[in-house]
Amino acid sequence: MLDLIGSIVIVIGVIFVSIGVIGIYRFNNFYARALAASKVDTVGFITIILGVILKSGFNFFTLKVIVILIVNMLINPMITHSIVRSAKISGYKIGKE
Amino acid sequence: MTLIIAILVILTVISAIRILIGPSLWDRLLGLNLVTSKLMMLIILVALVRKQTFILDLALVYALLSFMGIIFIALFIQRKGRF
Amino acid sequence: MRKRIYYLQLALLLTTLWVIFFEKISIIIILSGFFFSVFSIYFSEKYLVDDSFYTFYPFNIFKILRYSLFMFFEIYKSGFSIIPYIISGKANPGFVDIYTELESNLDIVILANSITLTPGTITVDVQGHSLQVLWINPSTTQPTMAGIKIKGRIEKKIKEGL
Repeated sequence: MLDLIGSIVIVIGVIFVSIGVIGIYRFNNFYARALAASKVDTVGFITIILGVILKSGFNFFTLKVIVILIVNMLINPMITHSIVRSAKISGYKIGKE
Repeated sequence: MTLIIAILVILTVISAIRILIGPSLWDRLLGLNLVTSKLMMLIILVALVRKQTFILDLALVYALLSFMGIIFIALFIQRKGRF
Repeated sequence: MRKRIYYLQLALLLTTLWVIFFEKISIIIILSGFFFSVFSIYFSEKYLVDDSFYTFYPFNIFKILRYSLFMFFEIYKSGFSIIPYIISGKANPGFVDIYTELESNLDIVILANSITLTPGTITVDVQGHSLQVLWINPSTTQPTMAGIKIKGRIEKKIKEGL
């Protein structure tokens, strides 16, 4: 039963990830693409990891996955911030394509 | 489960195309970030299927290395090559 | 006394990480992990950091857990609200300046990273008390109104205590 719920949650996470991947091809503006891509890394990643936790139960596998989740949640904002700040300081305008 | 992994591999390839066609440098960096996060998801799912915990160490090390790489490439571009 | 509890909590956190990486619970692993975490805290405070950890990062593990639980709900809420923009493909992002009332550096860093973590907003620059934020569809460019919409609940939660 828990196995089935875990599979469903993982499928929902994959749907979130594919919406994000569609997002980086639909916009014609770099900043909008950055905003769409930052969604993949947060919502999709958290949902897939929740599904993995549900599927595996409570053991050392789950604890290690939680450590990876915490590290990723600390790292992701910094990467997005660094890329967008680099584009802004280099003088990339919003209307340009 | 195999179907999910296959779909994720296809999504990884699609987002890797952004690295090739991206009009600006930062688009390519964005594509690199997406490919990295999807590869981490793939590593975790493969570890779940095989039920072996040492594969998770690879995901951790890969996350930290990509963090250093992307941050330093972004800084390098931002300072126009003078580091 | 608070300082001693803080260092005990830091050492226990590092010991837990050590045990998780070994994937085995036995008395010798826990003892060696405790020894190494105390040693590394002492070493980095004496040689690598200018001041003590207690003045730089005064955190409490239970409040951090409560805050991250709150952040999960915020992430999902704003994650669902951004889907219509992606489906329709219309967005005109713009930069907005907002002001914060938080005092310490650690609180401002946590606020900026939380704003970036919620989909739809990215913090670009921080100067003193003003943050420059990239927003997917700016309805106002006035700092106070935009500030309430972007960071209202998060800032209140941080101000309650962290």
